[in-house]
Amino acid sequence: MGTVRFLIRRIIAGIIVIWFVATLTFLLFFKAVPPIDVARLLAGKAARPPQLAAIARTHGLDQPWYTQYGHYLGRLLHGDLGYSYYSQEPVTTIIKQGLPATLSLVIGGVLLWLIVGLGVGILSATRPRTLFDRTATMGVLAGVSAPVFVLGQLLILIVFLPLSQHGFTWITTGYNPISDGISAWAGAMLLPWITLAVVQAAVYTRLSRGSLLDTLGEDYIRTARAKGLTERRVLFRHPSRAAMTPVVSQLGVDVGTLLGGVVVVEQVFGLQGIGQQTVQAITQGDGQLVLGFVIFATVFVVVANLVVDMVYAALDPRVRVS
Amino acid sequence: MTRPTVDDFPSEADPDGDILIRADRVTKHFPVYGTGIVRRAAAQVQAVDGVSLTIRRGQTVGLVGETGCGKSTLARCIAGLIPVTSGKVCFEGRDITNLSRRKMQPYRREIQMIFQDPYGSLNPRRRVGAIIGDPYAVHKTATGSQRKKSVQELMERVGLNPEHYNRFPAEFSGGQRQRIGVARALALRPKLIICDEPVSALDVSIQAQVLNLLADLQADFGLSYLFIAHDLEVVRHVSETVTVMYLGRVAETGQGDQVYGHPRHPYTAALLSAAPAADPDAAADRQRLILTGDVPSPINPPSGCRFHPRCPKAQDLCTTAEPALESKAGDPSAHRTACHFPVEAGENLAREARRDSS
Amino acid sequence: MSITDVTFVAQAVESAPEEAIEGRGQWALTWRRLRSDRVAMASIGVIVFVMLAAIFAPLVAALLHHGEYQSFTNAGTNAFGQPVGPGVHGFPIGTDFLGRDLLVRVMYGARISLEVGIFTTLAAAILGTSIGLIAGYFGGWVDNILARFIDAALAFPLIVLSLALAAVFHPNLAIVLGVITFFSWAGISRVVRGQTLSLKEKEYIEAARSLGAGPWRIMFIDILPNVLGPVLVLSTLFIPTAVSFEATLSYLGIGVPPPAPSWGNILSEAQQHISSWWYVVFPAAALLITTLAFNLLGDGFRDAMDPRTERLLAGSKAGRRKGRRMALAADAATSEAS
Repeated sequence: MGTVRFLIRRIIAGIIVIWFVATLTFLLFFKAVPPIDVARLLAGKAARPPQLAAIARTHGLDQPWYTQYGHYLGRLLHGDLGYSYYSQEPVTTIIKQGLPATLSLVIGGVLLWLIVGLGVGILSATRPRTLFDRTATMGVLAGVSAPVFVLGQLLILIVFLPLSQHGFTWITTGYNPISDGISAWAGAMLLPWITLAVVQAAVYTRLSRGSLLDTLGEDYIRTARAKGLTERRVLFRHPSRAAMTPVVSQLGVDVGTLLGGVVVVEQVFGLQGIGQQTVQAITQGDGQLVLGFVIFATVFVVVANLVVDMVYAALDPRVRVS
Repeated sequence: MTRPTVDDFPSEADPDGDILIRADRVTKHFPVYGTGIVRRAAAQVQAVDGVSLTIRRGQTVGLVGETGCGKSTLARCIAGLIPVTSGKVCFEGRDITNLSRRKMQPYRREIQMIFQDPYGSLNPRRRVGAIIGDPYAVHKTATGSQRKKSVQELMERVGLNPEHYNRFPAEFSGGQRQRIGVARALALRPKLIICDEPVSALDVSIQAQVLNLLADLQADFGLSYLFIAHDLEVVRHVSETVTVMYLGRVAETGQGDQVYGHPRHPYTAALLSAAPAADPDAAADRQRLILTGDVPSPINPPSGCRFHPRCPKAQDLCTTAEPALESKAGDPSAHRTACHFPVEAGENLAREARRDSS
Repeated sequence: MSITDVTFVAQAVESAPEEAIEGRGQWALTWRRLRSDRVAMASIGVIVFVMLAAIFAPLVAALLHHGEYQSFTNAGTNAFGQPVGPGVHGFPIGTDFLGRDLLVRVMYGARISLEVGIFTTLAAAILGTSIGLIAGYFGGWVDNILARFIDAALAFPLIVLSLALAAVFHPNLAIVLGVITFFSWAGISRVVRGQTLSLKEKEYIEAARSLGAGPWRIMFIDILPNVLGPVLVLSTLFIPTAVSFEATLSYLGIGVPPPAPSWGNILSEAQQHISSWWYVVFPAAALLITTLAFNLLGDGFRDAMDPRTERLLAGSKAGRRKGRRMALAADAATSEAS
């Protein structure tokens, strides 16, 4: 019962956040980009006042702000994010076009950073103070400091350029859809995955190492060992749950930074995913598109946080009872 | 059964103007919140229930009881640190119950407190001079070199080296830290100092030093003390009047030698029998009165007399009727007990206790 | 030891003046520990170096006769219009795509990064500490509202916010400063609020109230000194985040607008000329060593304040032994103080 109530509370909170962001972005755009400018954008440069007025009426741009707001919310609930000022395409279509690249990046990157981060972290924790641990710690320090795009550029400079100059063309920039072949797809995604993952992996290595070290020091682990359980049993059954909770909670926080990383990595490697398209939309002044992206991103963050919360609740029974 | 009203101690031919603090039926309940969505009080912790107390100028009133009996809470109610649920606290005849912070400000100069924990009651990140000088800063009575001079005078008065003005609390011993606390309390020359177990955390040899210091200061400055402790011997040493509390209520109160010499309340008797006696021979003669049962929770106190579940003399009346705080037959009127069947002279409670439990 | 040695020592002890021993505050002790930490000292050195580069940028520009916005299309670009490399035609580390001296621009870039980093962190620290104190001390509905605020500010995806703002208002330095401060204050606020909540229950706070001290005095005179330590560590660790973030925003084109020589801008331009390795390597190196230095310094601060926490770079065995000894000594002192 406690879990259900907990989840309901989080869902309600999530809806409130989405609503809040939608309203905020609406107000922002409404104040900053007057409807007359929007009408002009839609109508084209050569339009004259009567045409402008007609366009304004069709799109409801001459209504008072609260009516427009109402329409806006209504459209949102139907999943309609409006139309791009420039390409006249529905925003949702544009999002769908960018989705494969972004998803490839996100899923691959997250998997990579979790595996590397947790793996190195666990190995480090079980071999404290060894050469492995020390090297890992150094790597962590370097990784934590760098801004993501710098790493990406350096990778291109150090890995991609020399390789391609020597005829080794598997690794490329830009995006190759899976339909072109897994190999081509992976070749293009490898460097972006590494870039996205490295900084985060560093954070997770430090986190999981610290958390596991703390948990391994606890008394109940000592009891398990005293009972005669094998070391593997000791590691995997008892501490894993408790040690994982800070990692899960960090994941929740990282969803936000993940978005940032995605935008940057797409820009560096020219992946034409949702992130890069957003940046382009901004430089072009395509307000509707940016608005649509922002809302999409918020929904994603809220849903991801909800999932993380559920996992956290599954791991830590105390959360459900409170 | 109506609650007893406040009585003055008679026969001292003095007007009421000599009374510093009069606490009248002070009650303090803390709500315990349930786990629903809406925060509603599921129960009340009845920390203090209808306690009346009087402190006169230049007098030391001792307040004793075991942990959880409400003595610290009562002290904080009198000091105005916690709001009172019902009842009245008067200082020199003026009502200071639940005053706003601004209105209470002038009274804070007259009522000060010393705390139990020498390690927790001083801010570790501030220098001792600043800590002692706080009252001057808060009440804007002295600044700059004048403040420093006053602080150093205080330090000297309580037995600290004034050169240590700039040291941090961590560099002092427990006993010295309590002295710092005393100096701080003394800064504004208050009329009353509430001492909340000031020596409980100190070594026995240091306890004596601090107690002597407090006695000296009382003589020099005409201070009154409300002295709270759980150690009966310490209280007897410093107080003229002693009040024994149990579970939020007053069990017995009176002049020190009366209460210690002829305890009427079974609880007081039990406390006294448990206290280590200085004379081993007398200790051997004395019979321990061992109370059965645990201390009940103040959330759900027993009905009638709150002591009845553990009392060797309890009878049916004790479970239904709360006894009034009044002087019993043969006692001076200042010595009052809240008991239906008070301890008689020569009665051996230990035997009764054993009989009950067998 | 001979008898004479013993008596000499005894005399020295007896005659030691009492007044000479002055209480060493928390900061003095922290500084002493920091001084013996070689990694932290090296970081301070690097940071000083970067600051000097920022301060002396105009001097270098004057010496080289290359302004930071000055375009040398003849000497500065080769036949194909590409940037020239280090050492060519008197450009110490080469030029950018407009023939501007890269060294001068990178040095001026240090100004932007440091200004952003330090200003935002200062603002965030002041704002965050105040709000954290207020929320933690007053509790009740004040805390409820403020805590929600803090959570919301923390949960906000930063990039999304910046993108939205940049789209509406044209990118400029003010937005960058505002956005970074907006994020940073919440992080500090949360820590300060947590500390305040627990410190509020301490007996010396109750003592202050019994003296008649008002809430503001208690917050800023009694609680604040106890909270400054974590705030300092957090702030030092926020500076590299701010620097990184500004660089990222500029790289994406929504930060400090060109032609300002922000390192992010330079790297964004370098993206199109990635075969000119100096164009990427030098600004990247500048960014990396700046952020690394602040991170290490922050770590060093954390350790200097409380030697018991585990260090990222634990150093040699001798360092560890010393750390253990210091931790034991600190235990004796700080367990009484805490």
